[in-house]
Amino acid sequence: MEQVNVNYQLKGIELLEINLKHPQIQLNQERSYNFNINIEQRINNEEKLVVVITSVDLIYEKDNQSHASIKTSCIFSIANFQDFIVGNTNEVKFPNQFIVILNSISLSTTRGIMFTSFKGTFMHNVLMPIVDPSAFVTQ
Amino acid sequence: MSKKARNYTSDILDELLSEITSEEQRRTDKRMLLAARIDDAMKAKGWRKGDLAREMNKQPSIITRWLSGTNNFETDTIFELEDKLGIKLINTEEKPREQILYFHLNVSQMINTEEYVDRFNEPKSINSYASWFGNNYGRC
Repeated sequence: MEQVNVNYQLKGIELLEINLKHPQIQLNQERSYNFNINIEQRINNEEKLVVVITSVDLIYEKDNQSHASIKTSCIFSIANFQDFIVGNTNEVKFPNQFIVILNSISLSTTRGIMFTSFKGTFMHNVLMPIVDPSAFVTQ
Repeated sequence: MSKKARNYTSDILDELLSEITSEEQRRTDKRMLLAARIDDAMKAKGWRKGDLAREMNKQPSIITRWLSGTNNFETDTIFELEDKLGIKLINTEEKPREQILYFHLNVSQMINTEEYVDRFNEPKSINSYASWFGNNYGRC
């Protein structure tokens, strides 16, 4: 199989949204959260960029309410962008492995931002679990 | 005498306006905007109606109609106006679409806040902290 190199660089990280909502109930010391993770990869042909927007909604399993949510963006610049444009179209097709890598970097970055943002709040030690970045379902 | 403008109300005007559909209103608005763009470009060039009429090889009365915002332009006339006035009135270039890929995953995690507080107050070696945080296993 032919090896395809993608020359990319992380150009920026942005915290787009962060919300915390303390519930009006006593929180157990042990509590379970559902991490609802959505990732959007926006491919910008003009700027040769891929903007990965990661949204995480933390749903408390007991009352099914959102206790926190976060939205971040990681901006990647692709040096050899033109290598992935299909024929004479505007369509861009990156190798699957590269798409997974971008998701993985963005998830880890979001995990770090979550940790620092939740520090000192009732969500202090709520860490996003390590997930298999290739397990994401394409919508 | 007061110079303050008064709102003009008229039953006939209200009736006429109520007969215009939203689609007709949008079309009229666009025609008016087109006329305003032509007028602005003429002013920028320091042209009067006669100058544009000469350039376009038309009667000045035609230019007056164009600037009234009621004219239904042919595309060739618009393209000629673009050339003579040096402006863009219609964008025919296809804007590159932004391609978006969506991914979703839902995972559940049990958090023990008590465990965190106890360990925070109790000094531990780096290894034990690693094992403490290492209860989430990832596989790539």
